[in-house]
Amino acid sequence: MNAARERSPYVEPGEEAALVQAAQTGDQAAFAEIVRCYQRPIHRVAYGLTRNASDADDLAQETFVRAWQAIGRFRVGEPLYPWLSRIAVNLAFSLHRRRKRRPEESIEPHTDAGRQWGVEDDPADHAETNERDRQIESAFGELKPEHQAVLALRAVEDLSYDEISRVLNVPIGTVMSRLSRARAELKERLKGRTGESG
Amino acid sequence: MSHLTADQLSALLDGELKGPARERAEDHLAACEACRDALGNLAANDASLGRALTHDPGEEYFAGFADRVSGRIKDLGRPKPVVRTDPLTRFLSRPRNLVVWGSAAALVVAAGVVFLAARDASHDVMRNPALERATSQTAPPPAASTPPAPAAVPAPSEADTRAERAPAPLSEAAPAPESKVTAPATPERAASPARAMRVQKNEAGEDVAVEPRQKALARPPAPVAQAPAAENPIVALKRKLAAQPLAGERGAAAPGASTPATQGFAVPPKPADESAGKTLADFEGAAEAGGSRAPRRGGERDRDAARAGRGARRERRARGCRHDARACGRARHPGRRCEVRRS
Repeated sequence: MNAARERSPYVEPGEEAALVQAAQTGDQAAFAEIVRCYQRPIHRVAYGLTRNASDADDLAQETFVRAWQAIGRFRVGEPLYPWLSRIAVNLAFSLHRRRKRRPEESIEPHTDAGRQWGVEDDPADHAETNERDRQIESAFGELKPEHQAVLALRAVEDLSYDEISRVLNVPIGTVMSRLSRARAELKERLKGRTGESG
Repeated sequence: MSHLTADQLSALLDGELKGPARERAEDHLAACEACRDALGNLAANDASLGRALTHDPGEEYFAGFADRVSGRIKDLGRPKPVVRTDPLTRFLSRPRNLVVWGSAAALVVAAGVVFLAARDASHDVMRNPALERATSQTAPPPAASTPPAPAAVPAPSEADTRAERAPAPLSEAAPAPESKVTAPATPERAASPARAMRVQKNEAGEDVAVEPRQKALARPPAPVAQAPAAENPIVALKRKLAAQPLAGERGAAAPGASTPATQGFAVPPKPADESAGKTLADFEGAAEAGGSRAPRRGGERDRDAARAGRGARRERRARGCRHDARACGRARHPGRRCEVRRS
């Protein structure tokens, strides 16, 4: 909850409720304001779950479209970010299922597009870090979708267990055990790739 | 010293370990290098993951993002109005709930169908006329000298038993017994009055209808106290034939009231001691010597009667009856006892 608030500091709870109420009456401008407030965190979640800029764009847009369609059922006063994140995670799960049934080569190369070197970065260090990130990204992609989701929400979005439990609609104990298993599995897969003792 | 578990390390890394649990974990970490390494490894992986899963598309992308979304929702129109549904509707509107509970309901229904089908299968075998006919053609009839166990003997209803015991050929001499039976026998039985007969040549070379399995029974008729045995139709026939040998003269001899045991039937009453002590051989002899329940007008009618009798016997065999036709005549039915055998 706090993390979500920190990620959208310009949306006060009262203001958010007013925007939601206006959107429920069909006010598209109010909903566009909601989109501006949450487009970055939702895009991060989308990218963390797809690891692909194009898919992340589609997923983020689709998340807000679905939110617009369902905003009539949203309870005014509830935090908006977990609800939006849940839509994004569910869409990502659907995408995973579709990809599993019908594998397709991603158009977007898994390169470091969008990542820029800092001036102070040492190219050798960067190459080593980049290689490790590439491997961990690849190992992450082999995890189960629910493990990917819990890890992405924790490692990328830095959500608390309570927030993750609300986003995924599972108990906190499940979040804890899933995170533990996801990390252990990730470690094992990394060990298999790099030969690290880990 | 036990190390920290993966759950503890993970929760400690995320700052979700609280209170005494956290203190114990930190105390352990201070003394255990392996757990410190494991925790450090988890933290490094999380950091790598954070970098690997982070992508900044740039400000331009986000500057036009809301407009792109607005362009898409513009075509969709207004959002659906707020509809507060009852819990049941909400429950049913969730596909997951529908799948789970629908599957459970389908399983229950399937189990019920399988159970009922399995239960009816045995009965169907017995009721299937084709199977019954096939069984009667292949399985030889059991010997009458080895009566079945009482537990397996069917228990015919009283009305049905009476209908079987009532002599069908006596319909010419006495009022038709079947017509007064409260619970009539099956149509096949009612339509085959000579089913218990078979044709034999008597001393004069004439065809006579006799009881087919009468000889095989090595037991006397039921005691006097049992009304059906006391009213054995052959005895009544014998008595009538002795008094009125001609068929045309027999019609007037209608008996009186029936005994309490045969109330509701038009079986001719007779003294109880008249049939007591007589054996089936006596009845057979009486049938062969004097009389015949079938009229003696040529062999054609006798042949029809014999044919009908064979059909009736075959039918009884198919039904599993292992008793004498007059004694039981009922389809063998599991779980029911034959009153005649029991007596």
